[in-house]
Amino acid sequence: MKWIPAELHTHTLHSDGRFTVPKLCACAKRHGLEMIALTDHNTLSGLDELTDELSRETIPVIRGIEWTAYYGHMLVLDCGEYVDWRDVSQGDMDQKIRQIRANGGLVGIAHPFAIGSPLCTGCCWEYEVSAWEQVNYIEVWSGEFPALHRGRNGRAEDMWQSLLDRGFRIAASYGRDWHADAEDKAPWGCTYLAVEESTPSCGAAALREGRTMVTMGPRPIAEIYDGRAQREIYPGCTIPAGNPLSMRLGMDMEERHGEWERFHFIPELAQVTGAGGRILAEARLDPGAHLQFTPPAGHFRIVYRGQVMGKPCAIAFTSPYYAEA
Amino acid sequence: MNEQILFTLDRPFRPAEQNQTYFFPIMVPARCEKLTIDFSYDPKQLADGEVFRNMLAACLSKYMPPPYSQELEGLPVEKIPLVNLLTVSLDASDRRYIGCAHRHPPRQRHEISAGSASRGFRPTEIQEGTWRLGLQCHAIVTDPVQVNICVKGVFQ
Repeated sequence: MKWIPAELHTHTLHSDGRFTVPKLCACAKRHGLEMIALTDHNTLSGLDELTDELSRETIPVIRGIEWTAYYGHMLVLDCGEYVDWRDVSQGDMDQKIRQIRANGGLVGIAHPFAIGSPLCTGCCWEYEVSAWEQVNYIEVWSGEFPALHRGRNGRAEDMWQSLLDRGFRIAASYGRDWHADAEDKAPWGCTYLAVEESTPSCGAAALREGRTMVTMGPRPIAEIYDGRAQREIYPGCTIPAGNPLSMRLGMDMEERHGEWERFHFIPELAQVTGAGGRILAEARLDPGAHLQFTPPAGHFRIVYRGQVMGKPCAIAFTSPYYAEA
Repeated sequence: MNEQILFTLDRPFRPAEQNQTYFFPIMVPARCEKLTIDFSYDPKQLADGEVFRNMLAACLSKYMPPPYSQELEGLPVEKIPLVNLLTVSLDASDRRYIGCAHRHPPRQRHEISAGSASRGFRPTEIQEGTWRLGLQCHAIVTDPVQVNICVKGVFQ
């Protein structure tokens, strides 16, 4: 298994982006990304431009669409059949989500606390959902310098945390909502996916199984070993509660450093958090930092904290691990 | 080559009609090789004034209430235009979704045929039967917005 950086929310000239499909792929590669999801608004036509040759010359692309509906935007990836969004009402999104899942698709809620209509039409999530067990991921962080924006991303984190606390297994993603390549004045993020191979189907499998980490900059390192089960565990894994875990935690300060080093990242602390965001354990992010941690029943995840552009904030976090009694 | 008008729409839409898709049947005769869609709406933008300021304030207080509203301080939010956003989508006679042009320009022309299609739509053979045009009213901030659509068939 290897971790690859991905951007899972992109647009081209097939909707309102400024990229052609080949230019989006080339630009993503230039930014050190190793996979993207193409998610044009309400259309699949850009997917017809994806070829093996383009993938070989640039990067692999997960096929997707962004349901740009009236009361929320939803990312639908790797879905076998097109499912129509145009007749969805605020009360029957569950049925649509089930239809997507029945067709093998992945469901991701995009920027759930973005400013909505009319400033950004339908951008804030206002659909009623009961079937959260059918939702694969939430774009917990989106936009520029995501950790600073409590209104947009802090509330998304709170929503995600609350769903995890209720027992739903939902992965986290970052979405740049990439429409054009522009000069960066602050850090963007990316989603790291743990994949067997760099193929779209492995990327989709990582999201489906919750093997994701979100960062504004350096790649988080979370090498976690379950000594009793004698195996390495990844986000999304289920392990027995009470099994002692050996954790090597850190941040890779080399990978993609050209993308983020100018924003002055200083990693300081890794925290293992559980229900309600409660801190269960923590360790300073010194070289070779190790942590012994025995998880209680429930979910836990790792949050990496430090400073970015002189501001104390979260830098990255993993999707949850699940410990069962 | 000759053209035949298959469908026209010229009517105002009001703010109460936003957040809905309106579907219109299009009868496509045999031997049609290409469809063209001319779509426009006017105005695009809500002019500055009391209505604009009230709408903007209502939007911000709903979606970015205190304490989050502090994050908008210093940003030129009052300069963000409030615009109408309407888009067109198309289904073939066999109910296949052909696509949608989800983009902002208020004047658009699209062409769909077996060999090629405007971005947003997939190339599709133009089969005889009842096609379906969707008009997605994502945002109507002016009262009204005048919508014009003309769908033509192109025949050999």
